[in-house]
Amino acid sequence: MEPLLEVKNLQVHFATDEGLIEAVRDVSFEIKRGETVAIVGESGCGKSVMARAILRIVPAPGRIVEGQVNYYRDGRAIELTALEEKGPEIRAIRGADIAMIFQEPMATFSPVHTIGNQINEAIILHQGINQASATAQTLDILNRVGMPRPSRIIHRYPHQLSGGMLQRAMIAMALSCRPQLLIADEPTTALDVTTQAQILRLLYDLQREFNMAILFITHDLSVVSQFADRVEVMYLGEVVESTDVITLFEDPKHPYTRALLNSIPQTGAGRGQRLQSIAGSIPNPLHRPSGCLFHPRCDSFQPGICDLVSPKEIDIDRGHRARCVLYDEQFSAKVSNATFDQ
Amino acid sequence: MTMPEQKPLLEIKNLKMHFPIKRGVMGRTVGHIKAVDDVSLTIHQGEVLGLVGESGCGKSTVSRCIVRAYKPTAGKILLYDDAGGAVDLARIPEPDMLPYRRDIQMIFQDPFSSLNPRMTLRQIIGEPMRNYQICRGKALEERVAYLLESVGLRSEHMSRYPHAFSGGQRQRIGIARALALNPRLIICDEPVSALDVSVQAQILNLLRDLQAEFRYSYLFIAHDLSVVDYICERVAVMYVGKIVETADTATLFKDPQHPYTAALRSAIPQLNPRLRQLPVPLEGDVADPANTPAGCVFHPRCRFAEDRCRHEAPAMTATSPRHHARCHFAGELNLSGLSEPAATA
Repeated sequence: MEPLLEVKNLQVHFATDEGLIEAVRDVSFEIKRGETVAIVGESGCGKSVMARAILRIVPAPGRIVEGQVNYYRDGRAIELTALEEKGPEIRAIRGADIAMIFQEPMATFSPVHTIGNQINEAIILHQGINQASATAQTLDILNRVGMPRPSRIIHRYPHQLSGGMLQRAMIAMALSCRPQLLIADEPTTALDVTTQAQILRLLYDLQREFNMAILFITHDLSVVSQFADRVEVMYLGEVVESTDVITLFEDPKHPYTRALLNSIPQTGAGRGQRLQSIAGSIPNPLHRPSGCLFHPRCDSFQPGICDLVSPKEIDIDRGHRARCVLYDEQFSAKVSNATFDQ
Repeated sequence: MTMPEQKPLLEIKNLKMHFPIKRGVMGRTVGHIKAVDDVSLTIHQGEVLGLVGESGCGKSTVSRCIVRAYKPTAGKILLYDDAGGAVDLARIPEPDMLPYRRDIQMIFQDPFSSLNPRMTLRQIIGEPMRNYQICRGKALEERVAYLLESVGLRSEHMSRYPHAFSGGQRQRIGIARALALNPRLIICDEPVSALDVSVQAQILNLLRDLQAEFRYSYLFIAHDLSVVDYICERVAVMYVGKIVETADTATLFKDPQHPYTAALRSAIPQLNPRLRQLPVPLEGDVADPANTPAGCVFHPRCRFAEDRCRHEAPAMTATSPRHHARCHFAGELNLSGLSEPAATA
């Protein structure tokens, strides 16, 4: 199947007063039509910056310094990274072809306009239709996201809705122009588990109905396991492992992915046992470790290799890549010897 | 797991915390938010009791009543001493609270706002001991060093300020401060939910190790059932100001008796991509504590609700000696379809 979006060797830098932060480092992946790709990582791994780079809304002083983002429309590639950041081409794509929803619905909506007016505005802007038909579309989309009594909700202001309802309104706004790709940046993190379940189910159903692809950004592996087709695991700006969701949970290769999976408490499983924790904490992005970025916390750390060599992305299997010297033939002999010596 | 000796440490009886809603220029009271409505709980010595519920259910209000950040509207909070005598923290005058504040310490959710950025670790952890004139000078220094080491930090860092530490390390500082006075009860209010996934396990292990070594009693407040399952012996589930179920942790997860607990349980996504369900266990929103539904507060979202639930508020019913549920049909419903899914590999 042809790709819908292609990210190639993307690099985003933030030049701050304290130094250069490489927020996204050489990230490549693609999203096919109708597919759900999850970007998983902890705070500071660059997942949100990466998503914003696709839409060209990286906040200052961030800058895309290298790489390409290609969006395919009617078999033709549009290079988003070549477009002018505030130009008409990218603005025609934002919100229409590619829409985004955020963690904080309260911050997405303007507090001084009604929900109805804000969704109408997006529809009028992209479809150039009149107020009356826009309102009809707004009511229709609010209905589809399961909003109770849409005809009353359109006259409400954001503060009058609960978190779950606002999240539905935001999804409605994002879907109002039938995007091909929805970027969802931690859409359920601020919600309670029961509301999270409602919203995940809603996204799942709408995805099928609209046949859209979803780029799902999250730190929560349990949500990933229920929702994603493919997964990109990020750590300090790099993709360390990339594979389909089943393989990620059943045969993870990168030590970071493995450690992360082992450190999550699960109900029922292993009650009374200690959790396997990951040593240390995420390094300051201004002081990146040498060699492999994960080596100071890694339980497979090999002195003389991991602290010196930046690992390449290695193809483990079809569609499964990991950035670790354990799988690099150039080093694997040395690594297994070293392991044996211990 | 063997049960510790069941001597009560803190007993909450029919606690109510109602906040008035004021309107207009005269500040007329037009209603009340029933944040905590008739909560009864007992924490035994050396026990880890979990208090779970979704945001706005009143779990943090309960903890603030215990430390008397709020003066409860009604009810008793009995703190027992070793001899079995008790004092009611809900009623004693504010100045008399001082000796009891020492016994109850808190660990907060946000390690960035709970530490004063202008104080060094020595000052942060030493302050409670200076306030109670427990030690000073060299002895204080040694005690701070000991506390830092026992939470996994290096004692030579005591002259540093909080900004030099990561989120997980700051949470350790907060824990060291809570331990400084050898409290009898530690209230952990969502202590890991603001931390990165890879750091959560460290803090949970630390809290558990400290508890195992020193037999601290914890009131562990969380919204994440899997975290509660990991650390708590007994769990109380709260919904809109009321406790709806209490049971031993294993029982609660295997055999929940309240439909809300079962729904909460099945809403947790499983870590297994082959077991995809995306169930929607509960429709609608949490009830408004200012305008609670008649009868059972949970009835508008309950799939088992009958006429009786709409009119008559259920009482807490024991389904076994250590298992209580606030449901008219406790012990009668088949919640197995909603409870623990097949154990994942």
